[in-house]
Amino acid sequence: MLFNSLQYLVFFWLVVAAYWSVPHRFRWPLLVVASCYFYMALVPAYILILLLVILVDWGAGLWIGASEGWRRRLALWCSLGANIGILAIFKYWGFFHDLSADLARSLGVSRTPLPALSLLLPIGLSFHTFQSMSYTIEVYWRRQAPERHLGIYALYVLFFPQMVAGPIERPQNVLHQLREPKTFRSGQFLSGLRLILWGLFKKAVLADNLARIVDAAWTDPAAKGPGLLLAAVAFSFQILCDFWGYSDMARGSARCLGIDLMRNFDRPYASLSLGEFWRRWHISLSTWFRDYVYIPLGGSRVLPLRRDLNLLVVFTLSGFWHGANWAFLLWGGLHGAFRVLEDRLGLGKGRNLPWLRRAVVFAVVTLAWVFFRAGTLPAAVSWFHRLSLPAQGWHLPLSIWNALLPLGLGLCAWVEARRSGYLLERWHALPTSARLALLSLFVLLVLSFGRFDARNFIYFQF
Amino acid sequence: MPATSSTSSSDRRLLWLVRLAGLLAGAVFLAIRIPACGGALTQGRDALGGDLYQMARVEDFREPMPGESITPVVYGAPAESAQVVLIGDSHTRFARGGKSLASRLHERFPQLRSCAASVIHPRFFDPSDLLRLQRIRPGQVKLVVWESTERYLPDIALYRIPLPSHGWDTTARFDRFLQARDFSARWFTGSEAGYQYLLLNSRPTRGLMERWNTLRFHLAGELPSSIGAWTRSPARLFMDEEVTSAPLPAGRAPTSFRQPRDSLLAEAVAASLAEARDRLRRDFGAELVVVAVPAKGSLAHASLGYAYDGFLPRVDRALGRRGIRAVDTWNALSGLGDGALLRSETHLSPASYSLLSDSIAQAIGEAVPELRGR
Repeated sequence: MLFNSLQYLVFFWLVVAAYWSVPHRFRWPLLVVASCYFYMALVPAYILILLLVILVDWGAGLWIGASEGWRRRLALWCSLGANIGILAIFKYWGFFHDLSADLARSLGVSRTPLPALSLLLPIGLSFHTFQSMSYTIEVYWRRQAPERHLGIYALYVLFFPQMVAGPIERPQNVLHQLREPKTFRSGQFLSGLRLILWGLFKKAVLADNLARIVDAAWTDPAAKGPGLLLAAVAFSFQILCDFWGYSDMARGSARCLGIDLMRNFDRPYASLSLGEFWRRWHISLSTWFRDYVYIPLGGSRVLPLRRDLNLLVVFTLSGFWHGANWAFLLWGGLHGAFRVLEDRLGLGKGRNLPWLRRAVVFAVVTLAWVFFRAGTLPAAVSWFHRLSLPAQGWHLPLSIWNALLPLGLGLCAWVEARRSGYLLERWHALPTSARLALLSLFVLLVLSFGRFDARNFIYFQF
Repeated sequence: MPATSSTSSSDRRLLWLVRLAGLLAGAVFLAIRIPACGGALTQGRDALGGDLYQMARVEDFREPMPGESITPVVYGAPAESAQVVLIGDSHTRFARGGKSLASRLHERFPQLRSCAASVIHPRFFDPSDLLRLQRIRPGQVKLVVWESTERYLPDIALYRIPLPSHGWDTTARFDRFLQARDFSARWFTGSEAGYQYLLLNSRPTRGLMERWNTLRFHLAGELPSSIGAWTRSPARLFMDEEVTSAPLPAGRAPTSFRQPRDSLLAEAVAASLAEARDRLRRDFGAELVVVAVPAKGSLAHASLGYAYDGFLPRVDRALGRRGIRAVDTWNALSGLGDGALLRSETHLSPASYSLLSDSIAQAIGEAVPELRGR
């Protein structure tokens, strides 16, 4: 189910009203059923995979909690093996199959070592397997007690606002919230609704309108010349608004149910360095890789060469997490290489020339997004080739309405820079009628300029 | 009151509003799944004159056309005695304010077997394949009348005739498959289309949506998808796909109403249909008659402020050069002027269908002389 659909509008109000109308002991079953329904609105059969992941990791958590020594390690590896195995089969099989076929061909072997499987990737698989793994790893490190209640644990993985595209939560942040009784607070509920509306603005008005420009450049084989550069910049903002909008709607939906999820974005294009960018972009995934891969590899408390290697490994893995092909690997590798370069040259330190530094970071990130958007290496190479050609009459399909998009992006940047303090104070200082009028105007703006053709979120493919 | 034990009065007031919204959401949830609830909330299509949304936009949310059930869509003469087979899309079975085109023709030609194939499907068939699926043997059929809308003509002709999503295969196994698919769509995967249908057709929202989008269309010159707009003098309802010029996303409609419809495309359509005609002649000894029904946007191009690109007459000429019979629908229907169209429908008026059935009957008579004059 997509947050930007009528289906979700109906579902959300139905669930929220039921949630706040039933006693606490019925709330977790209600949310589990609702979350299963939410997931089944996409591909019903794939709920079975999710239930398998839940059962395996819940069992593994209990086993880890009750064991010591090698049994404890074995339980952890069973859990990690199951999660990575499911990912390998559904997400990476095709990649390894193609790789093995290429290798076999180059060695003169006619038979492909791996059989071909044509499986559809269950939506959000990378997200919920990573969230599941974070639970068993935290239990193994004794930073989280094993959850004995299967229903509460299932809800930790299934919780519909964040199950398909994050934020990838940690058990310490969510499990206790799912257990605790909650009281309806209008302030919290309304702030959740505001967040949903704000996320919808980012998605339907900004991201989906930018998508028109981006898609025109990427799907038209005749597209060439400097217009492609503008489309690349448009994609940088499209993916930001798309994913940030999703995260806001996820956090807003959860907040309406009295549950606070972590922030996933913090104005990433305002970063002065690439390191800072990754502390502000997809925060839940960046911290996942930092805590469960980078630090166990030794982090930055090792020799400089080893640290560089750690960075490269983490970023390449991050690229591989996004997609099982060379373009995503290269995208991750590029970020890793730039991070190493930034560290070695000391470019990430200091705060002088902020606008120039922001421009450089944005340019690097935009360049890397080309591989991300292309999806395949040949498509990315073709894009760079076509960029170097003269436009020969081709131009981006811009209309007078596209001129409003920079205004929308500017509004978004302005609000995001001030929303936590100044704007919130001013908002609460306004009389109720003024707030209602402003909200109505904003809703009208979203309805007028938004695209509501239930367009998928970019990160749903992961 | 579990959630209100320690809440303030403002919290309680808001909570009641939330519950009210929940009740409304529950009603809407049931409305698209239980036809009786949906019927109570919507205005009824006869009053609106509008299958337009359902047919043109609300994909996969299938309901019977007025006065007709979905199965069987194949009706008329039994396969072994059919002399004329009519393959068509929604124009063939549309029956508002009069009889459907298929019924009209069936009255004149008892040996006519009509098949409604209204849904573009990724798998495509040739007319000869369709006849084989109907278990019609060579020599049994003399003529295949193939009706298509102008908008889908390139899609269908270049990618062959569409496989209908229902009706052709009436085996119990296929029916069970369809039932399972419908259940899954109705309760899980396809409800978005149902909600769209409800939003665009329910009593409180329909007029509001149309006025809002009409305003948008006249101000911005474009429409959000799924929604129609009215034109003034004469007042007509059009879908966004009929009035905008932006290309559809890749894969949705490879060659659509919106693509540049140049002479090359007209020639390609005619060449493809010539191949289909040759196969019909070779495999069944049957002739082909093409009936391309003009789109509403084409017939009413003047009220939309567009110039018609003359695509249909060009296709007709290209067909003529290849010796394929085609009914001259453009001249026949454009002669009806404003009376050719329904007010809020993508389909045509009863007068148009009457005129079309006359033209098709004439074409059948010319192609199969022994059927002439019925």
